Amino acid sequence: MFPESISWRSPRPWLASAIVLLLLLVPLLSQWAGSSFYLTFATRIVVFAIAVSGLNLVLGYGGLISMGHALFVGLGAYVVGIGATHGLVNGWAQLVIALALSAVVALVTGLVSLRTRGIGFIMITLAFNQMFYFLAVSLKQYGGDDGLPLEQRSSFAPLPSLDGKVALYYLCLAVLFAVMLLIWRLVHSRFGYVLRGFQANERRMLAAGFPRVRYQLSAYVLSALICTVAGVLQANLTTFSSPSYLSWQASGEQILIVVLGGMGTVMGPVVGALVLLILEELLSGITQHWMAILGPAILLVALVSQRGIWGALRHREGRP
Amino acid sequence: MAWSLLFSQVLNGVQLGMLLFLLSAGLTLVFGIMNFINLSHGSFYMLGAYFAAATLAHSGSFLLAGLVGVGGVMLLAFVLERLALRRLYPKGHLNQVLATLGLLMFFNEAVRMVWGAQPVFTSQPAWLNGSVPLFGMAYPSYRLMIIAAGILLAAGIYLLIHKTRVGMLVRASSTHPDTVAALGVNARLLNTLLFSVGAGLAALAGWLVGPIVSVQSGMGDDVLILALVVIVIGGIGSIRGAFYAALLVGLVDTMGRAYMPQITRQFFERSVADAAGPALASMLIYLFMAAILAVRPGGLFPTKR
Amino acid sequence: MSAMLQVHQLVKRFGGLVATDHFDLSLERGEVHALIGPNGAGKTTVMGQLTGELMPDEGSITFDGRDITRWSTPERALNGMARSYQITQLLEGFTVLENVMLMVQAHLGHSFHAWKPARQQDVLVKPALEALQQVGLQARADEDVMALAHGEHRQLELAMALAMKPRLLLLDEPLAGMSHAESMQMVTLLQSLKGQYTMLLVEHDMQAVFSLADRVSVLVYGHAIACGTPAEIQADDRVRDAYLGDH
Repeated sequence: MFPESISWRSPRPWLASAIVLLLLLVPLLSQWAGSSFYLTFATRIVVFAIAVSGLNLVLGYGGLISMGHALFVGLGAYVVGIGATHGLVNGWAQLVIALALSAVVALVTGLVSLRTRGIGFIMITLAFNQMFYFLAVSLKQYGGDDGLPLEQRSSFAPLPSLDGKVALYYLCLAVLFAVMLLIWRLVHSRFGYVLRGFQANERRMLAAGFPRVRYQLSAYVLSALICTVAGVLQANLTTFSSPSYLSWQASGEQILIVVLGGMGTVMGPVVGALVLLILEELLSGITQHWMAILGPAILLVALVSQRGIWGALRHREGRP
Repeated sequence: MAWSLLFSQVLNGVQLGMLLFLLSAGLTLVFGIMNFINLSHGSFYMLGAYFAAATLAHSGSFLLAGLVGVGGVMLLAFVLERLALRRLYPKGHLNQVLATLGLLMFFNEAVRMVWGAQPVFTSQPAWLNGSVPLFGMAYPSYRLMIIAAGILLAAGIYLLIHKTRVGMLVRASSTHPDTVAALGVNARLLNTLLFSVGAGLAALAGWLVGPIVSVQSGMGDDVLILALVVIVIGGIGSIRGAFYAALLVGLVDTMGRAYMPQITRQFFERSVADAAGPALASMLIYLFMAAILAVRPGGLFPTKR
Repeated sequence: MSAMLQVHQLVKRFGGLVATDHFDLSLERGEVHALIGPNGAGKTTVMGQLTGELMPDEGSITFDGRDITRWSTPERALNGMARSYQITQLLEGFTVLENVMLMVQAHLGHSFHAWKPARQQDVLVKPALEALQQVGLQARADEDVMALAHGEHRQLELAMALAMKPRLLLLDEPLAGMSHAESMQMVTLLQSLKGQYTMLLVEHDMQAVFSLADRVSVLVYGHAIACGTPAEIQADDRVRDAYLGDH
């Protein structure tokens, strides 16, 4: 099942196993603590980790700096919200519609974006993000600027109802583990090699005979689909679909989590989401002006590191 | 068609264009020469507005407010660049995006801490109240002043870049930074000065725009996006490109918002048009940018490096 | 003998500068042809046009009878052209073996396989190991590519080109930056490949050129001023003039 040999002499597999175990036990721990807050909070972290895993595929492994992935999260959330408003609460149907829509949008935006490089790519993905943000704001009959409350949670029968916090959590966690496994295998496969190769040295890859666009576009669409799934889960978690899910600040936050956790590593998105969200929670408990502390902290991270937490761990062991 | 309405919208578009130019000039040079993407550039605009508003409230002098606004921000930018930001030049766009997002977050929160979350009111100087009769309507003098200021500054920047030694160094740095450094020019000081001047221009825009917009936390965020669109359309590193692109974007955005609802009503039924109109108007700039990039990926005036 | 590569009146301008000035070249199948010339003569520009990284303004390039002048780099690579770079173009973050495996992979159809680990696929690993063996790097196969010395990087460049099973090898200064001992090794290696591959060799090292090349073209200001056997070129006055003090 694992695409590479795991050396139990290094600390990373132990750390990763500990995190997985912790995540599996959250509902129990939350019950002991006597409040469902921790369970909801953990679900938020897991959903973020899913979305960021999607971004990690193109950013961490593909080297493409996309400021436009919040768009796909929002798309998933709005399909659920709008669907529920019109009586469509079958989660499977919502999922299929959301994925199909995302695939089309990702295909078109990806094709246009991949014509550009560097800053152009950043800008054009940002532009597409903004376009859909304004589209969401303009949907007055679906809440517009205020957002759209979810009439009813999606039903993923025969799975238990998502109104149960524990059921929702384990669904999100299962999705996260599935996505992580998928990405882990993908980056070690032939496709993964090509994607990572283009990040490492595009010139060499072209000289080898690999055409660039089809592989980067495929990765882009796949990452969009993963973000869409996160969006579907997000709407069910918050019972809300908001244009803020599509803001460029949300895209920026995703990038922050990937870099913080460790770009180009499977555990990075999970670690990043854990660290950032817990940090935000702790800081906001200290002062309402926690952003004045977090901001410089982010600046510091950007000044000091490139590898992120998990990436730094890998580097210490000499793994590239 | 109401011609005087059209003319006033065109003037509004030019006015927006001038403001966008002030914001983009610094952004495009910093990007073109130091290859540094600065997402907190909008914060300089915001801080310029806040500093100026505070000075005006205390002193009553509009011009002093401008001096403090621009000077204060330039000093801040100078220190920031020397202490922290210059370390990011070799680190690549990703780290720069992150770092400047962090700064943006900090500044937005900082102004909330100092001046509160409510918008700050600031007023135009009395000698600019009133309007000028133009094309059969009365156009506000203040807005006309902004247009005049923008053109004057654009001319000034052009002269500086093309007719002075410093300007020549700046131009040479944008295409051959290593050569300029090898010539013994203090490239680092040049970069710091460039960064400060760019910030100062943004602050100037903030000072001028204070009386006619809402001075509040986050006011620079969406304007920044527009400025980024401008420099991408104009061609990164090109002041000339920034000028023409700013005018284009200002006109397209203003005219689009003014006339899109009417245009969509021609094609769609009323309820759809009323929803689609404003949405399309907001999206217009981005569609415009995507179209330009599709044909000319380097922008209107691409600079070769 | 049939001409494998035919370059006809190639012209490339950069603004006012004419980097390639009506350049002609004819490469016979199986020959080793060296391209020499003073610094700034435009050898890299010619290489770029041969591999498709630069598009010529005028002229044509014919490969095995087909006009490839406007072909993209990947198209040329998939049709038998391989290049090794003057400044090594390696894939950082991968091992030595993986670098070569990717070259093999490019020629095995599409890469839309997302589940099976590439490292476990014999069809990729075996030919990669063979290429590494040819250049003598098989012992370093599982090391990170950045752990290698400069000379070993150059060897790897060659292995990667060979792994593409090309018909034409374009070698851009394969001896660049090498010590004397390393250069000797590389020349011996290239000599062992003579006859199996058609090679266009851009080099400054005259000893290597004269011991390897069947024919030599001399490039000055983007134009071939002479073409002949090494002996003919050494005796040519025009070449001596162009190379005043160069070696």
